[in-house]
Amino acid sequence: MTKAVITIRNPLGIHARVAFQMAETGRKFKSDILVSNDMGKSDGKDIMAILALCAGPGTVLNVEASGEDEEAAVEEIIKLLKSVNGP
Amino acid sequence: MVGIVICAHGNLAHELLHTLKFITGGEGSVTAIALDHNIDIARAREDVKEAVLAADEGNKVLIATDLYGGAPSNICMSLQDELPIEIIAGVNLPILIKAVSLQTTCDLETMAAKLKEYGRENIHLASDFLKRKNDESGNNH
Repeated sequence: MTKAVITIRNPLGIHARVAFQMAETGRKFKSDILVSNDMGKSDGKDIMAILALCAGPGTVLNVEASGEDEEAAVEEIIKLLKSVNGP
Repeated sequence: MVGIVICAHGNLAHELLHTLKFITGGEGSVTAIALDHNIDIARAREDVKEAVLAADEGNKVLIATDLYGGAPSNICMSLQDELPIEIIAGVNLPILIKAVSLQTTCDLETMAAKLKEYGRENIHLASDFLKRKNDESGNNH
């Protein structure tokens, strides 16, 4: 399993468009992907499950993947979230 | 790819499409038709036919209507025997977002069945989340 942690700094948090991008990014990989915070743990390939985390600004988000391409999956999702966070 | 047509009262179909495209960044092949209760039914049937035929790439078309029993839904249902369609009534944004994700990977029948469940599953009460969070933290206030 590969894991990473990121703090969401975007003022709108993980909003619908970001959640869609996360889910679509996740769907490109074969590995199972989970994202979690203090609201719970969600399927990282399902936009509504990601939104259900209500990940506002300041949220510490855990991203983990299990499978043959787990490292690339986590890397891509973290890269996306960093770009959403901004410089 | 399964085609997707949103068919609803007033401006709803176009507003749903507008919001859907914002969220998905324009991904997916989706069109919208506005039908009102006072519309000419023959004309409306032709509009729906035209939209479905334009959306059909050979893998059939899902029509998402707003209200089961409403005019848009009834008009679409009257075309079920003539067109390669399935109709899902009671559309919401979760259904449309998921439909965009599924339209390239599922056949129409599988997609429609999944969307029916998905649309229902993604209606929540915010208070349920709060209760769950409080229960998990042992705080029952």
